[in-house]
Amino acid sequence: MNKSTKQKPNYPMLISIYGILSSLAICLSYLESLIPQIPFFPPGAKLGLSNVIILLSLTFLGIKGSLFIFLAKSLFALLTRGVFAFLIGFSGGVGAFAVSVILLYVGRLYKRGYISLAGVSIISAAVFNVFQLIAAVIVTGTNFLSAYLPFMLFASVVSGLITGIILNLSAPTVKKSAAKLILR
Amino acid sequence: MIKDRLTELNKAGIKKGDVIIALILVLASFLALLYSPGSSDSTEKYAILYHKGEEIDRINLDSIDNPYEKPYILNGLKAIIRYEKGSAAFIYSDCRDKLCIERGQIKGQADASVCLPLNLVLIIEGGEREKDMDAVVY
Amino acid sequence: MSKRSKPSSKSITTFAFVAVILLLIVIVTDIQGGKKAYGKSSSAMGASVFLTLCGGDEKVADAMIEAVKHLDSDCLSPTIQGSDVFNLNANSGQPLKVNAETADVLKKAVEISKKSDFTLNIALGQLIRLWGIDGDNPRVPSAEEIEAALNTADMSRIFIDGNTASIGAGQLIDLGAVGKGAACDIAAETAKRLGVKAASISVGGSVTFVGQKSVSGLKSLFGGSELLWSVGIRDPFGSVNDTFASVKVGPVSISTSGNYEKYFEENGVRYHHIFDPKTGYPSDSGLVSVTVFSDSGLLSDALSTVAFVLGYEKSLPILKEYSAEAVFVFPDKTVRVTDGIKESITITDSEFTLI
Repeated sequence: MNKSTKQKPNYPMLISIYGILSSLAICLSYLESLIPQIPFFPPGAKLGLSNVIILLSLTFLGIKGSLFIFLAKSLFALLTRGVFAFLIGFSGGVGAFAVSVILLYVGRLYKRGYISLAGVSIISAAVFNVFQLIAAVIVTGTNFLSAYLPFMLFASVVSGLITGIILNLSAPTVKKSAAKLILR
Repeated sequence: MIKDRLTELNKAGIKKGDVIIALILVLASFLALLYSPGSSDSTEKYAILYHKGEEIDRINLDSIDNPYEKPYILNGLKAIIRYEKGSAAFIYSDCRDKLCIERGQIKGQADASVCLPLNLVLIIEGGEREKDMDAVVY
Repeated sequence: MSKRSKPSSKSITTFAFVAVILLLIVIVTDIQGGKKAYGKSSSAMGASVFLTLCGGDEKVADAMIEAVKHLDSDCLSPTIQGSDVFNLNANSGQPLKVNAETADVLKKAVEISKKSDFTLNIALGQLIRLWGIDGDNPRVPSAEEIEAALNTADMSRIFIDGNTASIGAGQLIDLGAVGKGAACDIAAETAKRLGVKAASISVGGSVTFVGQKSVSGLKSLFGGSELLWSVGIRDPFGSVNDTFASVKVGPVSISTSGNYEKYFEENGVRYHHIFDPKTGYPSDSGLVSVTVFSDSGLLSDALSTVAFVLGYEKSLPILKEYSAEAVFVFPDKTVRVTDGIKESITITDSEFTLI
């Protein structure tokens, strides 16, 4: 008896899911761009709220899919915010993406359960902020590094924890539901 | 007692490693705070304008009695900064997003206003530590 | 059928998600709200003017500055031709029509002068001119000159009736002791009339706060006190930018009088610009500066002059009568305050001691 061992993914469903996640990410990206200047952050730096979507998709959509969503969101940012502001956010985003991939897929920390998505989220937020700071310094050519660093590190713990807990609670359910939807 | 807290946290999915990471980062942020340059007390307050990383103007904000506006033209693009006693602000710029103008007045030490498209960075240096006063009676 | 003993993670997630979005919206609008304050600085009346408005914009700020300029050039300036004070002085003895604002300031100043037993005297123009502290050649006049000048300072020769005023022939009125405070009042009135909810007004060092300072919604959850404005008091021994204390206040007016503002030195003696109308000499009451807090700019300005001339103890009764509070600074850097200020003052310079 021949049984196909690989299930074909329900493509239309997959596309819808990509769509929903991308729009969520874009939505969050837009909302955070409304905040004029975060106290104690360098001008142009953002909170990195859309990273939570990317992280979520990394847990069940895999690297390629998440990359797509990340690029979609970044393209939107580029088109609406202008090149220079985009560069800072994008550097942060790339760093956060890379770190999240490493933590989730490579190495034992997450896989063996030493840290949860909250930990990944915190580290990802920290990298996001540090990369934004570095980008700001390079782009403007001035050195405000030391002035902003402490606040940005602290802020990443706070934001990372909040988004991390939300992810901890929601990711498993999303993963299951998504699996059911995609592999039908 | 710590174990009890941990199990409480576990309900939110928090693991030991998470807590350790959070603590490390908080520690790092405090260390960074110690190593960052302390703000000076009572030196003269200056607004420094950098273009592409190089200082192109330095205005003593303490000695301004009458506010004035100064235009800068760089690579064909124009920006105007209004200097007042103790503060400065972008009031015009040829950039597209006008974030610098939206930033408004800056007056505290290390406060910055940036116009990325024009490669301009306006930073406040020196000046008395912002004592959070709304006005001074003299 | 499986029983769920805790709310499903799906509902937790949705709830959390919605909560985060709501929180975001709150934060965004909150930060936007906190940024509405509009600030402008300018100069008028020969002094620096700083305005910070909540609920106002450049037009309102300009209107306020115009009002102050009008008060100066049309009403109170002794040097600008055509101002009421200039006219009264140039035509002393004759009744003249004056602006409503001028009449108002004159009336109020006269009333305070009377209450202070003429420690505040708005007819000291001749004495002030004699000493010349405002000019390039200040000097110590002779006793006869001083007596002659004081003879022109009889305030009973000043009449105000509606919008008509007259001063005695040979008199010169000088409203320097109340001018900046009156300017603050007029700026505050203009702001309120134009719908400003809260403002910080500073004219030549006299400060008036209007309304309650607006802080962003989140901050106000943590610091819900009525006294949100913070005013710094200039260090009388230091430079222009130094303060020695800060006081938390509500919407009041504040003015300082001190021996450091205008003075000249001759033979090692410092002569400052606040004269004691009884002696004709700069007052010598043991104070370096006194800062008065009251309901109006004109009142604070006037009372700070009175308190400086009378000294600490003798000024307490009149301060009490007007329900005003004060901060006194002595030459040894000790500081005394009236009861109402005790809780709201913070000494920020350790060289000063509060007693």
